[in-house]
Amino acid sequence: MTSETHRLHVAAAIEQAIKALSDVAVPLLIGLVAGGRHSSFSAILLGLLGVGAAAAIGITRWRATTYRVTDRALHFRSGVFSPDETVVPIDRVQAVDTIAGPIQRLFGVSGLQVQTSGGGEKAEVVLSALSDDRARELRAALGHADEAEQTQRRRRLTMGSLLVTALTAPQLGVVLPVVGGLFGLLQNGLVGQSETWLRNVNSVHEVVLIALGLLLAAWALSFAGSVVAFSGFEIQRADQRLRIRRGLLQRRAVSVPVARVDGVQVVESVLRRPFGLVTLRLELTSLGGRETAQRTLFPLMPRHDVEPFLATFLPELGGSLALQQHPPGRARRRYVLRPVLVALVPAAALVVAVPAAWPAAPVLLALAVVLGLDAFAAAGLRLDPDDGRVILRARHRAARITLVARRRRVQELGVSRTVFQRRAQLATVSVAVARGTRLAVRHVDRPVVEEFLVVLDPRGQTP
Amino acid sequence: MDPRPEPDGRLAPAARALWTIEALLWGGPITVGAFAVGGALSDEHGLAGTAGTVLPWLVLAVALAAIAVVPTLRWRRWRWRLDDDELDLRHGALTEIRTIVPVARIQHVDVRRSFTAQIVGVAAVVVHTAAGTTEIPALPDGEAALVRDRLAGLIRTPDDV
Repeated sequence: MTSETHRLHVAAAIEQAIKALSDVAVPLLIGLVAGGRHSSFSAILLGLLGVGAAAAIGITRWRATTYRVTDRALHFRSGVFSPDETVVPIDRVQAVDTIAGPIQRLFGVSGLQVQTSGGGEKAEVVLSALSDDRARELRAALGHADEAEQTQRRRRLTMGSLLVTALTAPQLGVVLPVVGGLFGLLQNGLVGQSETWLRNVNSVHEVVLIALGLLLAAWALSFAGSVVAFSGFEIQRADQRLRIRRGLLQRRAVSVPVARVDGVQVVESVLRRPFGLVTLRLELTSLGGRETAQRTLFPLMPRHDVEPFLATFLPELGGSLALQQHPPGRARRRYVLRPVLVALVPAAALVVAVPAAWPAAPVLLALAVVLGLDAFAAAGLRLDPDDGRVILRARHRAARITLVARRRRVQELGVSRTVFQRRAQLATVSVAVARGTRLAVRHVDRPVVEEFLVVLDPRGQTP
Repeated sequence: MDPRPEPDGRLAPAARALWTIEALLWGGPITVGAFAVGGALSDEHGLAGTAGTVLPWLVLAVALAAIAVVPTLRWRRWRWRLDDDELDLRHGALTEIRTIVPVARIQHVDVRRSFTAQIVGVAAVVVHTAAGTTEIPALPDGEAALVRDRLAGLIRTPDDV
């Protein structure tokens, strides 16, 4: 076992220098502008000085960063003035992710992020640049060798699917308030402006145009974000691991031990559901806190592909997704009542404020009824005592979510009854998995609650 | 498998005193504040004046309920049970909430004593899982320590899943 101390690849120095430069970019620019007023010479000098200092910082930091692998732990040292040494026991290493940003790719090297089970959202150790040989060596030493094993089980996101993913990426719940807020801000700003401005803009035409423009801008942003995150998405199933690669500028390769997967979420967002498209997300205790893109098991696929996909890539969670238990018919009006009550407030406010707009009120209420009926149709469970999984489906924040969880990994069960539910012998059941993903199915009947409590009884599940 | 027993453990009777003190701590100042503001407003005419007269009394009613009624109701409804496999809680007067936490998922346990809890001699047992925390809000000091020790003995390392 190697025990010698290594430095990172020189690319790390350049990355650090650029980071340092971007940290001082604003003061430097101000200095440049101010200095440039006196003479261009001093501006150039200041600029050179800044770049020189950044380069010095980069090189110093690179020289101060070392790592060493003993047969029991990874020792990582970094920091110029107060060197920190992080020691990660090898048997605590949960995942080793490969990340290659533009600089790393320019040099043909890659970075490694070492994750442990206890850690928070950040990786414990980030080795920002390693040559391929070093990276392979280190992976092997940490017991996370990138097995060269060829597997037939792989699936890529096609170009067409990537574009559809990006086009349907905005979540209405996120986009609309942003657009609304921007629009409100804009209007406020305009009110402050001169009266003529206001009169010009106030024509309905322009207001609609502005709103559309903002919507398009938000859309374009989320489009670009998704393309960057999901370009070249590929999933492979090796023996005991799922390997996921993705990213346009920054290529990431994440390897997830299958045993760590607590469940899978099938998400049908508002924009995708009409086309029968879904996104699959991983539920993991160890990766739970990471951003959504990192938990993506597959960005986009037709709904009917989910079962075969799971059978191929995660047979541990495979099997029928058909629901077996639904809320009883008498729950239907309860599902409808809530959105109707919620819609009544804006509808009433609208009629009072703009009596001429009264036709909008019944439309709003009808929409609420449709939403309620849809939530009722979406809700259900699959509680099969012979199945190692439990499945809950419900509408959650406008998206239809199907949570497929390993029964033994459920973190918390909940049963709640409001006064009204108690009278009707109904209850809301919920489970929490991984880092707190919760899904509740409302208004299920009493026998289903009993079954829920029996099927998920921890006493029957001890391995 | 035999049906799961209903949770039957109760909280410390002193929980009522604890919640009453806590309600006093926020309810008192808010009520005084409401009357001060109301007094200033009631000289006005129209809607503001009416609000200034009525609202402080509403606040007083809510505060009185929180101080005098809610603690007893809450205490009467709270039940908990712990066995080798799960922690089972049931509480809530208007909405009854039952929470079951498998012991195998518990990562660690805290016993928490706020300043007011120390005065009445109770402690909260807080159970942490990857998904969040769950607590038994007020047990007698000694019992809280027992529950903590029992849980600590039952918890396996999160790795042997």
